[in-house]
Amino acid sequence: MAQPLTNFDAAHLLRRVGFGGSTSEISALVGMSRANAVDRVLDVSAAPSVTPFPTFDPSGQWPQYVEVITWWLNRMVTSPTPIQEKLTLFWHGHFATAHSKVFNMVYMFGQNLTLRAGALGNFGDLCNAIAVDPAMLEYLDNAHNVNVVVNENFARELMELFTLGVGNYTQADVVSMAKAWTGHNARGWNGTTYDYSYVFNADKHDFGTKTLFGIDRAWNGPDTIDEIVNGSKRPVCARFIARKLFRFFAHANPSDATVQQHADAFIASNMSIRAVLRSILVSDEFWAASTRYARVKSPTEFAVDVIRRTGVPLRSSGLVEWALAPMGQWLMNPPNVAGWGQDEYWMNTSSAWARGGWLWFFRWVVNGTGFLAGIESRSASEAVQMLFDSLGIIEPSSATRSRLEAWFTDTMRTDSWYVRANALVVGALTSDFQLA
Amino acid sequence: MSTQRALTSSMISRRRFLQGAVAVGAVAALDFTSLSDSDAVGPPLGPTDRVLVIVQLNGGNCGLNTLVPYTDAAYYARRGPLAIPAGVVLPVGEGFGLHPALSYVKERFDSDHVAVVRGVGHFDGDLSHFSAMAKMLSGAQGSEAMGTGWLGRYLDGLGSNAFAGVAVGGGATPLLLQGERASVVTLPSYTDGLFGADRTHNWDRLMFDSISTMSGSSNTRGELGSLIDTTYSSAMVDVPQVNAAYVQVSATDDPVRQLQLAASTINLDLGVRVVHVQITGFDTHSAHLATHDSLLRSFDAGLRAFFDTLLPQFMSRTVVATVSEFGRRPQANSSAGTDHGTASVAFVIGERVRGGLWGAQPSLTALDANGDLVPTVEARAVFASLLSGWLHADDHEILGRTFDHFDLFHAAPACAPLANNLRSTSSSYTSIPPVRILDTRVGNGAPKGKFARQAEMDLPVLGRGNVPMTDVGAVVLNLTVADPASGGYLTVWPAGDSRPEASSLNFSTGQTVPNLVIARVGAGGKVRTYNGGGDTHVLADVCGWFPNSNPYNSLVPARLLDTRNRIGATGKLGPNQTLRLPIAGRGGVPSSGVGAVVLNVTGTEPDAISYLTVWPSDAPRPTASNLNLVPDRTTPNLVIAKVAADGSVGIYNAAGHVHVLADVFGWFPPDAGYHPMVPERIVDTRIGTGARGRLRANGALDLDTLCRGSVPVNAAAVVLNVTIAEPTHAGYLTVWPSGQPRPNASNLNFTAGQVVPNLVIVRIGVEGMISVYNEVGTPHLIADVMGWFE
Repeated sequence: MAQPLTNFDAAHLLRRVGFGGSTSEISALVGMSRANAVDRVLDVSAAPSVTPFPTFDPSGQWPQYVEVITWWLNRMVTSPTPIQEKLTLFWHGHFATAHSKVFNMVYMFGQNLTLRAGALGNFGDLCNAIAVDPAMLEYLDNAHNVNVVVNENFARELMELFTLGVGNYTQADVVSMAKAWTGHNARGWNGTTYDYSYVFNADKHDFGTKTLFGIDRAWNGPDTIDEIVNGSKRPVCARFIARKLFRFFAHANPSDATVQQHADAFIASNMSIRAVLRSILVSDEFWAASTRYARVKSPTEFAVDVIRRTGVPLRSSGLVEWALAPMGQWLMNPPNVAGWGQDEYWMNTSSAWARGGWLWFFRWVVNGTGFLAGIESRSASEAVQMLFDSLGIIEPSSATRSRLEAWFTDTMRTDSWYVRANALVVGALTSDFQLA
Repeated sequence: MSTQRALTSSMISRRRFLQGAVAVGAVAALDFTSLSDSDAVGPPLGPTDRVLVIVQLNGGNCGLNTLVPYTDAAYYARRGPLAIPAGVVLPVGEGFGLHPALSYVKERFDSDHVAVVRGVGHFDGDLSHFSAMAKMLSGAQGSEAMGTGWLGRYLDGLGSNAFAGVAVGGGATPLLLQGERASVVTLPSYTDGLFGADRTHNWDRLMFDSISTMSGSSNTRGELGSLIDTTYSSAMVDVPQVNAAYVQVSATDDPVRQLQLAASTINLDLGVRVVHVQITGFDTHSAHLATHDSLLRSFDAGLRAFFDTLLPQFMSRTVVATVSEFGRRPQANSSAGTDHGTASVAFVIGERVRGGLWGAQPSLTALDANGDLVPTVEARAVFASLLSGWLHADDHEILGRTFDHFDLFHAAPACAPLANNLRSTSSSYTSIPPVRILDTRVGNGAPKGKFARQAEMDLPVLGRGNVPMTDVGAVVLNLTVADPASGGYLTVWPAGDSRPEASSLNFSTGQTVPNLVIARVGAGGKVRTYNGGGDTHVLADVCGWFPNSNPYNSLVPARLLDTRNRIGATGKLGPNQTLRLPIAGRGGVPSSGVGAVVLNVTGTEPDAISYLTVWPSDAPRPTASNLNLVPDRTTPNLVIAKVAADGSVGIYNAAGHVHVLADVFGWFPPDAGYHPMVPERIVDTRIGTGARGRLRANGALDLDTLCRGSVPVNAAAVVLNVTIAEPTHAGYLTVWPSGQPRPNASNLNFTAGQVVPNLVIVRIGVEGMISVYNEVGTPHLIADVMGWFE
């Protein structure tokens, strides 16, 4: 049952799996079947190499932060396989760690590589990799979780936020889980510096029997992830992750039946992330008209989309240095271990001013380029159409069109020189552009 | 398009989009100084409205080290190295001490302004940050999920003031403030100017105005599309106002900066009712002692900055309360940190808070199965107390069930009734909302047209305004002349008596001059007025009356002092010079048993900018003024002065040389129910006494009166000398009891640049407040209280 992709379908898919498609990227998908198009965007074999790495300017954390985030955003802007970056962003919000506590950009970057490498792989593998990731060890204190007195921080969030959700474990499970992860620490002070890297300290591990999920065993860290992902908790875990992926890629309000459908695909694949994501992306619900524009672009999605459309180099955008944080998404510094929310979460006066404020600056960076060149010599309707085309707004509402035509006419009357710079601002702030 | 029109349409569009309907009109320059009554956005903070600032201590604040049970051995046994030594705590009684970082909290605690509620937690907690936080913010019970916060639901009930809910610090809108309908203004901590604030250039204005109409048509993209549109419209409409809040913020680091911004946003008087501020980092799983110390230090510094920044006029109407999702486990973990616990403490801080320790401290020897404290106070009981006791909201409706309340707030300002209260009878003076009973400009009370030179006019007062027909001995009028053809004076006296040699009001050519007059009612229920100057318009507002039987002794006015004519003294009063004026035994005033006298004092022919102060000459001269002088202008003002033991008053001149006249109009015995005071300045907006900042055009300011200066809590009315300073335009001021509709009357008329005083006798309104309305321009206000009526 081939349902060839329309222009609108292709643009929808590219907004969701990436950061907005160009005209040529859209055309390349038009006419393909949903399954083929989805397989194509999930194919990351052409992903660019992760090297060269940032140089980690030794002068301090801030220059390193700028380097690392610039490195990552550049991949979002330029990668031919944006799904990899989109998922890395998703997993960063899921397995959230913040530089504000870790305070080491080398390990924050290392975690980013770990998330990217495991982004489409087996969910259990990803959990295991993250559990011993130096940034996570530090962020949720398992670096210091030892058998004398345990530290519950990682144990709780592993279940509550990473795999199961609240209500699917008890406080006794938290204590047992914490004991199971004792000894899975950071190397710590080595005489000259603090070594964040993972070490298993057998002498700090509690080898005793603990009761976890009602099962008595000498649980040791990775066993617990195996139990969650492949054992008794698998159905709960599959639903928990499938729901979150569906909410991120499709829309925020899936029914239990929809979630179960994709959880089943997840389970059937032995917890392959690629499989559950494919299940979501090929489903009728993903392609429904009501799913299109049912998401608000996150600050990162919004800004990367703007930069991709304008063709201006990321480094001159101010984005990394100051603009993303006020929009509400300070990459590698999520507000807490629950990461960021979505949709309504991104929209309030503070973030509205921040998105506008960034564009107010960025318009002058763009104005020297060919973007929207010649718009001032067009009629109002042609000019606004040019703006829509340039920003990839392929289904503008009539209200937006008439509002912008009126704005264009008014501005041309007195201030034609400024119409090009401000067109970017009014265009990118439309709900037509800000919805994904 | 005029500013006025532009504003009107923008406000319509705000109302409309708040109602989810279609907006109309474009937004051009927003200038709130030009608002007229019909355009006024929902009143800013009314006299009975309260402000609640929630400081969310995010991550789970350690209650045990915040309020330290330093006499409990079990605390030291459990806490071990994480305990705060008894020697450093700031003791607050009952064996508890505040963490040493909380020096400001301690200061306020010692002034009885801090309630510390112990044992606050969730009776059904599960130690998850996120479910505890969801419960705390939504006010939900058990596992029930709620998409709205308890203060969001409160805001829903308030109507559509766009500024009622404010979240400071950027980031997502906090669940606490999310409602079904209420919109919340979220403010970033830092900005170099919010997008839309810089309206310098036409091309930018056109852009901002276009964006502000994004919500102008129904969005076909569903709820999220509408959300984007309304958010942008709202942001564009709000921006010129809230951008101003950043001007007052000097702190550079959060959370001090956020708390300062919270205060400066309240100071804008946009009707802010609920503010949310968040301090993160309380999830101290490691390095607990140092981290917690630094967090509490910032919190304490933030509170101090908040109350230092908050304008005096909002002080008694603002309370800060803390919430935190849970406390920490008593036992340390392996990282010298503390894992998630249960009970913590909550602070409630403000002038009207009943300070002290509330709730029961959970036992450290009877922990639950996890080794955690057993909460004694359900967190929602604290919320219920804030909602009901402070915000006057229906806590049952908002929280979905009833909780026992803590009686955390004083219903009225907290100060003692006057100890040497001499009378317990009802007020001898009846203050009424002023009513204009004479206005020759429009033919009210007299034929239309100016009151002619050397003419007399009878003004009936009984039964007019709110003055009864019978048992009225004297009326209190605010008399104003406008546009006199030449200088002179008015005399007011009881109809039927012969005209006394005294003036009630002196004026110069073209000047608009007000003065308070207390006039005995004469034959036929009338007072009579004589015009000893050029043809002039006259206005009279009646604002109170004394009964026939009252102890106020109204006299036929008599001149006690005229330095021009060697009455009482000779020659101008010099700079920094005081004149002692004997009163007792003169002009009908008895020689003993006089508590206060009513004088009309006039300064004339001054040669410098100066002021006169009248006070009981045996007391130190107060910082207060009765009338303000500018060169070559005649200025009168009514004075109700307490007399010294020797029956005299002092009259002080600050600068230059001036002739002074004083006419006595009546007197009060010492037990008259009127308590004259050595004048005290309770408001000076130039320096922040009582209120800070210029009055707003077409704006009202509510001022705390009870318990300010020496005004006791049982005062019914106050006698104020109100002075306007640095007015930018000609206009008028109205003073009336808070909570009453604003009367169409003026107490004080002024022209640009003039310093104008007038005596005002005003009943104290709701919450112990009086309201002051300013018509146009942005003058400063000074008010000296001269006495009070029981």
